[in-house]
Amino acid sequence: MNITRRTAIAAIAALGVTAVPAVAQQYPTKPITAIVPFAAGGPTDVVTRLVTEHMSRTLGQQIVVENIGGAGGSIGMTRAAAAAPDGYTIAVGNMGTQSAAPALYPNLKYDPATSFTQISVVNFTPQTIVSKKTLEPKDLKELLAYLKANSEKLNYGHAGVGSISYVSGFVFNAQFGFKPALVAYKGTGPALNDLVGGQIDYMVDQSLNVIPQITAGTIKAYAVAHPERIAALPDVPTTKELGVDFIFSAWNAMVAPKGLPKDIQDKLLDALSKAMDDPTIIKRYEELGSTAPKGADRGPAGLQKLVESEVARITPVLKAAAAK
Amino acid sequence: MVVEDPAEPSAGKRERSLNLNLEVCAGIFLIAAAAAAYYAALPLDAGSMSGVGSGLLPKATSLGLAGFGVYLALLGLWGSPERIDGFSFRGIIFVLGAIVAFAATVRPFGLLVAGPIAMLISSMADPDTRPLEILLFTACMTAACYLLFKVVLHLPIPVLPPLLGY
Amino acid sequence: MWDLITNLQLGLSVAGSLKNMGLCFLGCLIGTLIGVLPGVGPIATIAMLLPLTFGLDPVGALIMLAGIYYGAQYGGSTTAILVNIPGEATAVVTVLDGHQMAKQGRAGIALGIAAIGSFIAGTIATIIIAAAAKPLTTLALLFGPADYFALMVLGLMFAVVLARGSVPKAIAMIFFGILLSTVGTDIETGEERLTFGWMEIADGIDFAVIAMGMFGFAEILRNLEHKEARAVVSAKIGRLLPNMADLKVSLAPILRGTAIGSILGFLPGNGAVLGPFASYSTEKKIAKDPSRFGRGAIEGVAGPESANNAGAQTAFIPLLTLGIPPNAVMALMIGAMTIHGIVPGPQIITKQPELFWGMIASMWIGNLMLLIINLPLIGIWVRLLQVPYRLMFPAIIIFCCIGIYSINNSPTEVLLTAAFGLFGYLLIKLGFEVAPLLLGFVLGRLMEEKLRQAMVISRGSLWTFIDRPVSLALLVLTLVILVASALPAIRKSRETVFTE
Repeated sequence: MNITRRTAIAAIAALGVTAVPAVAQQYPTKPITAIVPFAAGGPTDVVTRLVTEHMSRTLGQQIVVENIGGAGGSIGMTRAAAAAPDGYTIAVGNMGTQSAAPALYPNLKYDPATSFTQISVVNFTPQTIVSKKTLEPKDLKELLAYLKANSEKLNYGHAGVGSISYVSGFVFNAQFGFKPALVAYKGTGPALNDLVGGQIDYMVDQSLNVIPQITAGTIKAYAVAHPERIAALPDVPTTKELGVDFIFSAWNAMVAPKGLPKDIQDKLLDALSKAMDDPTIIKRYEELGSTAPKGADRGPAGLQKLVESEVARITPVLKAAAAK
Repeated sequence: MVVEDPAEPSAGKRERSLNLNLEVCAGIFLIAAAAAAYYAALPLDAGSMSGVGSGLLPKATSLGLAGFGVYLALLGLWGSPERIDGFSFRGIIFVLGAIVAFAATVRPFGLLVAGPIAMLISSMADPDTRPLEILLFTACMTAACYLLFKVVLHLPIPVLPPLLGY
Repeated sequence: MWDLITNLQLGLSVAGSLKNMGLCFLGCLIGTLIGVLPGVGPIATIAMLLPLTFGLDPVGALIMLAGIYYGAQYGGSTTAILVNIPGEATAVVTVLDGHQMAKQGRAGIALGIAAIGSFIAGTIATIIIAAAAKPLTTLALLFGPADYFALMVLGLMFAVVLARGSVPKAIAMIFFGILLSTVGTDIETGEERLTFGWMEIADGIDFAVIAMGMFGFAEILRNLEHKEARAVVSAKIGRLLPNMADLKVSLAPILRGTAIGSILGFLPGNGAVLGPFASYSTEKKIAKDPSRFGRGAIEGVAGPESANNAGAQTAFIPLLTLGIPPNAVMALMIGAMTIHGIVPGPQIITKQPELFWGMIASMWIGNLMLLIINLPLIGIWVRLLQVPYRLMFPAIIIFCCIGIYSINNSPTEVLLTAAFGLFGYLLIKLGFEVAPLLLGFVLGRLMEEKLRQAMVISRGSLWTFIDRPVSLALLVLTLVILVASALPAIRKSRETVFTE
């Protein structure tokens, strides 16, 4: 039985590590903590556990996921920013913590662009425009026209201020001038539940949350807000092919506290890259409707550019909403 | 729904009692809590019917709470004779002190330091504590906690100060 | 009917394999362990043990994780009965009579009836899931925010019944609980409410923090006051298991509790927390002598424990049929499924029947195992009560501290629990009861959320509560209970005055 053996190995490893002082050996010499600023089981947590399990094998040390939830992820990221830059604390934030947070939390204690040593984007999850099953419009064009005429009578559901569905919905509604009533839920689960039950009318949410419902036909999908179709939803068109200018992806990114030595940064990036290229993980990503960053998107420079451009894109929309 | 207790408090109880009227104190406590909450909720908007605001529930419940406070205080003044029992200050100081000590030491020094500190401080709350017994017991408990939380359950809790390499 | 049998056969063949039975046993064992440890909840544990399941096939992994979940639900009642600490919202009512029974030297009976009740409830709930998961899901989806709000209002009625002493004081505590539930970031506006600028409580106060502080720590403070009270806890040791008379008294409450818990469990949005409260209130209402409740009535343990376990089981319905988690643990289960490459959703029944039915069958096997694990343990638990209190309470404190820390890895929450300990102690001193406050806290959050959703959707029209049949029915029921209990309550409170 695998479990008991693994437990035993972990136990021995833990005891062994306590006894050996960590002085000037090859990094890493002890378990690494990966802070996930959200509750266990959410999209960021799942992706983090997927890649860190693989990274642990590459690095030869366990990466322990520590969930520090609260305040839309900003509590966990604040703690990550304040940790020692020795490579033993890393964190995985998402679009919310790394680009929307400054606009949402005026006394935020970190700056996503400068408080961290960027490692890389871990995955992109395109947003999908979905509605309850009984909504009239048949395709995206019809939906946009319908929303234009009726949006004030409709209800948009989101998973709470600062959540991905809140931010993406905000950008979507603002861009096309829709003014639905916003119904706030605590988390994606209850919101989705009421969308399936027809209590609310439409949502823009991460594809990984809505794929099972779309394939089962309990909700309607209009488009994926992405340049290419995603493997898990081959029949759902993209906004790009329909000629609608709305591209929106949620993403998760691995970072470390500011001042991480270059060699450690490289080591972590290398391990993460190996994980993202692993066939099993690529397959899991596909099932989640996610894609791994490729080419220039991968690595610290790509992440830095993404953070800066997303902050620039999202902040004005949210600020305008707050001023209202 | 007036609930009164006309029975005389027992003699033993009276000895330990602080000479304060129970219902009056309960009432004042509620009013004070309600006032603090209402003050904190002042900047929040109670909203309208179509958009129930963030302030509605905090304001409404603190007003309700204050109402009950007034009711209880009047009840006490009216003649409910019950007094407050004495407090165990020794318990409060050492038990709460132990928890505070744990909170302060667990992240910088780890479980193997914070655990024994908390246990030893809390044991001082009880006059029956025997020094040798509690020392031995603390040692065993600390080891048990390490095995249980770290080895079996893998909780990400620091074990020793980072200076020692773990 | 025939389908049901073939399906269950398939399930049993999956869950009954030696490997899966072993995993189920391991899960139940770990679950019981963490359930008994105050504060260490299934969320932290499942999250930490998740990597260990990577080497397993998905069905086995899920069977084990599910075992941890209901094992923890079960183990929580052990702590509630023995040391007065409800680890989860659902164990709050178990504390009321369960711990009283322990103080009277009937801990073994309380633990035994909880185990037997849970097993019966688990068995019935498993059959319900197997037979009616699909139609129940359709039913649950009819439940909109307005209906949910009406259900919460009904739930608040229970708090009044829950109270032992003064009714106005109980209502005041409900208000206090609702007030505490509003602390934190407002989900609709993003404003911080009543946090006094304190970032650490920006997401609200954790239930375990309040429960452990107000029950666990406050109880320690109270016990330290009186030497006599301490002696009582550890002196007596009674019968280890319930006898026929106990079982006879408990059977009806167990069945009623199972029915109530099963119905509330499958509702989306964590209706399961209401189950034990509803069951307790029912038992107290229909009892010949309600004054026994709160003083060690066995029905007060049997009913709510069964409701708790039935609800824990039927809470899997939305997860298995819709892929939508009704609570945080179920959200984690979904995360676990995704990591194992299973995309949970409505299609799981048709696409992966062996997983679906295997899970269901494993629930029943798990319940059986819990019974087998726990009945012999009762002897050990009861003997633990004989540890002198001077050693017992430092041990409780250290376990609680580690447990609370583990919820969010936050020392601040440990501090906050100490504050609630003091707060709870003050409230007890001032003659208040803590249970209605906790009920108000649990329901307040859901109630406000649902009220505001309903109001936004109806554009401010209160008619929405009358127009919707479900909500109307629930509100009428609330009114009936209110009227029915208001008159005798006045009479009763007079009687209590004279008896005391």
